[in-house]
Amino acid sequence: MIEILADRVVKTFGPTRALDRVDLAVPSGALWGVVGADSAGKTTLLRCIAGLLRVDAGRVLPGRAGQARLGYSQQGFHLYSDLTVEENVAFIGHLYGLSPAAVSAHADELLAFAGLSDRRSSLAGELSGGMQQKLTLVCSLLHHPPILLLDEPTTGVDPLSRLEFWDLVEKLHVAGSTILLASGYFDEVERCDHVVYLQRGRVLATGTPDDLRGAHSTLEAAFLEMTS
Amino acid sequence: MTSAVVTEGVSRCFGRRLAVDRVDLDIVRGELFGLIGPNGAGKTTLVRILCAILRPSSGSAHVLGFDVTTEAARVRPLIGYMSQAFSLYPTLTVGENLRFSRELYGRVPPGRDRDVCRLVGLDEGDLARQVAHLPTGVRQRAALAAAVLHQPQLLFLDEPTSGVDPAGRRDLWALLHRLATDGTTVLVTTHVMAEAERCDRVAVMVAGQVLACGSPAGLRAATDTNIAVVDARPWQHAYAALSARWPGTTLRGTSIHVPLPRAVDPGSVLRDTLSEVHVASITAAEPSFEDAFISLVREQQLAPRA
Repeated sequence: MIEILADRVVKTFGPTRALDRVDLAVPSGALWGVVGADSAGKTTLLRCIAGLLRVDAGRVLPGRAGQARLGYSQQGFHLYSDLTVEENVAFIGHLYGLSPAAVSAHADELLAFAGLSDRRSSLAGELSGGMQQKLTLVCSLLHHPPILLLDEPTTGVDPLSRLEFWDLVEKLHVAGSTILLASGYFDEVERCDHVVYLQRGRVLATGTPDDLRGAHSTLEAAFLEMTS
Repeated sequence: MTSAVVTEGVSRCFGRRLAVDRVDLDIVRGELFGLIGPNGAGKTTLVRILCAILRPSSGSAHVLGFDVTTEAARVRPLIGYMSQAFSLYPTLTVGENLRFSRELYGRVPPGRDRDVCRLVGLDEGDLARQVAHLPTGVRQRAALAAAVLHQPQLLFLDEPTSGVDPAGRRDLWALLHRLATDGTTVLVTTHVMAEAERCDRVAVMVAGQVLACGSPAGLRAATDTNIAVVDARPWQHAYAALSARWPGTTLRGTSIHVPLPRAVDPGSVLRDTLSEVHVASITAAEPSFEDAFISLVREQQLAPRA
């Protein structure tokens, strides 16, 4: 069953065609990566799929109607720096309409999962970049979504924190979540089942990492040759 | 060969926190040198000491033959610094920013702007554009142009490719190699291990100390890690069992990569852990530089501190 879909999606901002007939279809339980340069359209694509932007043409899933089944972790840190970890979690849980008891029960489990249990009282602004990304992930999981959209979750994060973050992504993948992750790092999307190269709003190529790598040693080398 | 940077036992405290801890480095002139390590490892503090912005608490540091503590004013005109936070004025054009840098440094020869623009690949059109509206790759090239305008002998770059697209990253590294070939010593900090591998030598910093220093190939060969690639069904069960037993286990699609000590025979060790699943194959892969880096840092974190 297809859980995440973009079908001939077009999105323009004024004269700029940010997405130009983009297709992708992520089956249930799969981990897909969208990779491309800055301004390739990755964030616009995720925001369209999440129903946060209206598409000019085409169709998306889950979209606005399916937002309750969706966890969306946007690029950068958008939680409240001057609230503690626990206060952020409680606030986001409230926004999802969860009761304080339900948030509290699930938050214990999620903070332990993310290795943040002993940072509950820390101000979010004082966490390292890697921990902030994990907190963002925790907040996007509070309502038990089966589908996750992760927008450049490890940009600017150091290699060890990146590894720890990927450990969480892999655990969610193993547990059956359907995940679409956008990244600017080619070595990162090599970990996905399936990769979509996005360039200037178009899908340049799509396939398994092995297919796309072809005779090249890395995905990045294959991409550079394809675009040169 | 003469040294561009020599530090002997350099330390720096902030209150009771030791940010840089007895660092010894010797960077040769014309070398492309990488400084890598997790956040909070002390990389930026060390670079700021070498730029004569911060004084060391103890030990000594010489840059291009001058002591950074007692001869700071002689060090500064000889170095260039491109910070991680973008350091040009967003409301000015590229050309106006370069003019500002030129007047700040004073002794820039005529025609140097044009040479620098050619070097970094900026054209007349780029010079007229407002910095705020440039793509990240072009902005980084403009920042590099401003940092090398006064022909520094030693160039510091803090995460220069953050947010730059793959073709832009490739071009920037080609440029850094060209600068190094022309005799400029380049010191780069980076989080991206695939990039660190392009340096002549790298120093791995953790908790203020330099853990290892050498060529990327040498560091890779020196770590006690091999990667076993496991294909098993169901892969979810295999991953759960392996990651519980072997920390650092990762997924590549549905293949599982397990870092193991070199002395261990992957077949026998992993098949014990995988008794509940069907194992299609176990093969060996060379560790990447990132694997080697992580293994080094983990070994250090487990070892008792000196």
